[in-house]
Amino acid sequence: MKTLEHEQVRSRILSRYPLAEVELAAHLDSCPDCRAFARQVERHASLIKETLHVRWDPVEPPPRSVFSPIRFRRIFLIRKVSSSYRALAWAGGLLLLVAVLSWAIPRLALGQVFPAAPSFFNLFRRQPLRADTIIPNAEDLGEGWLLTAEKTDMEGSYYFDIDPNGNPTIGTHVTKTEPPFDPELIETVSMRGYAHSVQHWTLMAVVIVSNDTAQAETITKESMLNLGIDRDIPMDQYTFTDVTMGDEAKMVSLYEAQDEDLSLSFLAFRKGRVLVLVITWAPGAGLSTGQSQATALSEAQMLEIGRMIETRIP
Amino acid sequence: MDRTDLQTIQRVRAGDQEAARELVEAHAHAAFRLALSILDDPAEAEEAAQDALMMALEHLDGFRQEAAFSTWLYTITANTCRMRLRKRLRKRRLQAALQGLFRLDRYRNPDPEEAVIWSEVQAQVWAALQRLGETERLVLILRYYHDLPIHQIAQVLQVNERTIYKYLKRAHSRLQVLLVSKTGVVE
Repeated sequence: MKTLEHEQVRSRILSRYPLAEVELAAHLDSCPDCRAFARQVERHASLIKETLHVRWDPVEPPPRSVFSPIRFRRIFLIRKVSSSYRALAWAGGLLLLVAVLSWAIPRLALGQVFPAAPSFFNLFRRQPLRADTIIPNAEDLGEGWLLTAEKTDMEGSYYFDIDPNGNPTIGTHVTKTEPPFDPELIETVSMRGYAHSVQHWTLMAVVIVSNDTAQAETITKESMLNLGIDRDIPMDQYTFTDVTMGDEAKMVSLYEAQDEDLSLSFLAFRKGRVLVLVITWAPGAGLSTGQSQATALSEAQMLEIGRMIETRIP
Repeated sequence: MDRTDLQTIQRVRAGDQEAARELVEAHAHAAFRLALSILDDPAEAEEAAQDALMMALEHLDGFRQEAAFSTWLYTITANTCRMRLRKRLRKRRLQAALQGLFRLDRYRNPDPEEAVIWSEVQAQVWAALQRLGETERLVLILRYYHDLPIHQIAQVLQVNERTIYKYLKRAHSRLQVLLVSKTGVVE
């Protein structure tokens, strides 16, 4: 009888359970380690099956006719266009490529390995709206708004959601539409699938309309520190900078903190009853987010964001 | 390659909308089941399955028939769901940070787990599965919930079979460590 190596046995155990082959059985008879491995795999398989079937089998699937006639028409329009004009598209694409290259090559900075991310400011302007209320009923603080934005790579993925104007987009819902903030004036961006992107950052802006500015300001400052403390970032790694935001806005502080997993930047300011806290974070070298290399937003970018939000406060 | 699928695909390529509907209806449930098993959220699974089916139809000319259509669709569905998982992960990080900032533990999303009636063992197995890496968990789900053979899992995840064996071994080994600490679940 053919002799099987442990590795072969274990691969066979993983690929076909329950165990049936004669030669496999012969090996298992004489090898307690592989026998234990086989028992373990069978036990796990049975537990996983049972658990997942209990969890998901009761969920009713949607009707089989999942697409509306409009979606079908759209797919066929795309297919028709793509097949009829493929040759034309190739030629157009080639011309476009030549044009892009002739524009881009002279501008490539020496030593810049990765393409630059689109300017945050531009993304911020053209994207649809998203604002979530985060403190809907906190009487002592008034209301809080959360704006989020992020830019990330998706491990080389090229899928975008495209809005009717051709802009890449995701996330369009607004959960709160009453004053004091006109949702039309609150913008944020969320973008994914940036081709070849190697940068990843997340921005969060918390806007609080406070009934007690002094208290809210204290809470805001403490909260900023809490986030750093939660991350176990030593205080000596914070850099505080004082910045004036404008005639009416009072800057509380801007600071950055960094550890191997995270690079944080904070910006907080108050304008009348409104407190704004802007946080960005980007993974550091230690965070396993695919192929990402982190680039935190710069102080200048943070201030740009702060001023942009400031001008939108009624 | 399923002959019926092949004929239907040829009709779709020729512009037959009815054939497209047939193809979608034949595979919608499988795509949904796969999406559900990755996302664990029926509403999001439905959206992901729709996206995957739409993407498959739009890019049908790119289907080279090297594997079954169902395997190709599984690949698209798995990729669609994994992108959604990553987006969800980032959103959770934001929420966690917010909860840390404002101590807002009272605002949390309803947990779908609460709707499932678990035995103690199943709850522990589910918890252990959640602690595995995304790919390890996905390989176990494809193998033991969807009953896919190794070569098909390799096709769906676009890696070679050796890599799948590696993931499976690592997943079993981690699962053993996670479950062995729970008395009575495994030896």
